[in-house]
Amino acid sequence: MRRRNLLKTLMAAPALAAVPAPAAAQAPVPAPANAGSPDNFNLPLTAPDAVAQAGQHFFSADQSAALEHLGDILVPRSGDRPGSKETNAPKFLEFLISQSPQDRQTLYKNGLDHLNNEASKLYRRSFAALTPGEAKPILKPLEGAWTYAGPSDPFAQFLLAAKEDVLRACVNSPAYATAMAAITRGSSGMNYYWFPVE
Amino acid sequence: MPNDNPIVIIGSGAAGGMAAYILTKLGIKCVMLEAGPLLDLDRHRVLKPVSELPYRGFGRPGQFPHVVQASEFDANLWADEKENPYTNDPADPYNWVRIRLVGGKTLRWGRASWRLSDYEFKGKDHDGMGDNWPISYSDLAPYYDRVEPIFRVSGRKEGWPQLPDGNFLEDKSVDSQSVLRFLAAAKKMDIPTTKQRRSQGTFASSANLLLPDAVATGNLQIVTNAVVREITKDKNTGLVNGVSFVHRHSKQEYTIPARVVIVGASCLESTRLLLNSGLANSSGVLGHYLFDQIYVKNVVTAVVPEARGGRAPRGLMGGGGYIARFRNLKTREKDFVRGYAYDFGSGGTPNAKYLPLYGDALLKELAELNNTAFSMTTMGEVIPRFENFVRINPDVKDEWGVPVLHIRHKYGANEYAMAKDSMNIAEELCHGAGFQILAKHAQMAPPGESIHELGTCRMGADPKTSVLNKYNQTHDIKNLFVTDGSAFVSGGSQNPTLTLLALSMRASEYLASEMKKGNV
Repeated sequence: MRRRNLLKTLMAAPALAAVPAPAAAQAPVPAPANAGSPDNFNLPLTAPDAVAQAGQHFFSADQSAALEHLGDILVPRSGDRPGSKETNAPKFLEFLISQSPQDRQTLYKNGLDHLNNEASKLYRRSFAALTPGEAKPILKPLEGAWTYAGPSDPFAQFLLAAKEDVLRACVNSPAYATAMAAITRGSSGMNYYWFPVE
Repeated sequence: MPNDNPIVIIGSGAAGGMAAYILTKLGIKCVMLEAGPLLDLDRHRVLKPVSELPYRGFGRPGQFPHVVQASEFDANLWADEKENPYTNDPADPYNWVRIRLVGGKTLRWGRASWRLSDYEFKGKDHDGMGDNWPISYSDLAPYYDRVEPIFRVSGRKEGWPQLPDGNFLEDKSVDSQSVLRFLAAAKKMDIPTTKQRRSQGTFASSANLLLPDAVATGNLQIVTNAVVREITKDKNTGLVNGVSFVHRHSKQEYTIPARVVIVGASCLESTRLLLNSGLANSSGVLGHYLFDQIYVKNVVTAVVPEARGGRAPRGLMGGGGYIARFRNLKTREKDFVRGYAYDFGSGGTPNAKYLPLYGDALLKELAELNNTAFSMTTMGEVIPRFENFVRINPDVKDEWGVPVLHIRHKYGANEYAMAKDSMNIAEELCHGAGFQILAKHAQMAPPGESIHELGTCRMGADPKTSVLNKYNQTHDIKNLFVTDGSAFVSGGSQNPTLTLLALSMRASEYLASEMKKGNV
């Protein structure tokens, strides 16, 4: 199987990102079909992720570096499909965790610290400086068979949560949508968004 | 002196919607109080890709600790948990899922539409457990016959006593090869399979199938954003005479006089309202016998091996169906009473969490397993028990100052044994079909999560042990009716909406006839 097909199975890729990513921003934007109609405000809009860096500093620098590296190892770039790095998944997750209930925050902070502590114990380096091969023994809990209850060890819980979160943050990202729009014709990932109802 | 006040219907979902549909067509003036607003399908929704949502589809963290059904797309449709709190012992988790909009939970229901049978209505006669309903299947069958066309239920007739046929749009769809293999494996084990029975259409809600007809009669007024506080009683007659409510936004207090009150606010909201009003509880069972159905979601996730690596020939994957209850129908077969059903489906990709992999190996395996999945979910009967109950918690109030519910619902040994049996049978079925088991478990979702809460204003022949008579009329007060799922005495493994629609239809026609006779 070609590597470019690898991620086809994941949640879905919106066919049309509403907005071109920065790399594609030079392309001429086609005029909307109803351009010139005086009765609507049908303007192209851009999501912040497409043009700006998120400014969030919930994790320490060491924790952030560990999460970025963990993201790369868990969901690397795969052919034309962007991975954790290209989709800014770690930065997004830092934001998400900063908004999350305390037990989730603790799980992540302790988990990231544990990655660095283990790396230091085994290699006298930070986790971010390890090769995927060197990280393998630390990530051993990810090789355990699935159970409904999950592992009791908080570090194993963190790794399993991070695997699911990084994957989802990646395939649901604007950058992933843009990449998929270029290589597939599918239109999944679309749904009705409901506004607040008063 | 004739009472010119309207019938006040509380709630606009399946129960309230059906009551309004029937009564207004019979020329009776009704006012409907709905705690939430009306959706405007043009104004309130827009198609969006998940990548444009602020939380990338994760949803705002912590917004819905108890509503697993809520997504970031539809978060604004579910009742806000902070405005509408409830309490429970942390050791007894309960997921109470609510929608406060015109149409209620029929805006979001799964639309599975199954009839109950005398295995439920007369369950005690069958195995000595629980209680019989005061009605039998033959009492409700004519109403099911009329509800199914309104809700455009499709399905396949089977002639099974435990799952009576209905007035269906016939489902003649062709099964995929993987489903056919599964059906053959089930047949070998003498396990009954059928097509889903489901209400059709983009929306199959009270708001589009019941209320427009009721409004068209000119006999229905719908008041939105009316949060009901209390039903009031005339001390002299002992009858209910009105309803007090508070406006959701302004918090202005109102009262409305009522000739009859029909409560259809959902099982637990209706019960909370009666408890807060101090009504209809001479039996002492109001709020007790809370039950629902056990759900073991994805009890088995399997892989159809021939579909691996994108090699599935056309027609191998896709589709699904339903397994009707087969346990304990003729003799007591197992270490539990009653039985369970399954939904099953073919297609899709197994969740990454089931794969003990990461990185390139994970991505490669997910691609390999694209459109190979076969999964099953168990839905099982819960025996109603007095000790599962709700009561008012006077220490906690909602946004409008109305005391909230404290909920206590635990599953017992029968449910645990049933869940385990369902896992083993599911595994056997998938093996029989030549599927590879990827994951299996017997962990039930927390009580409430099925959104099939039932039983807290139970029907019965004896006013000492039940709240409602066989026409959903309270034993204590003849002009007070409760027509939602709280009336159920037992629930089988069938989704309850079709039955509560039929009950509400029957109760409303009974009420109209009693009014005509001058009895109410």
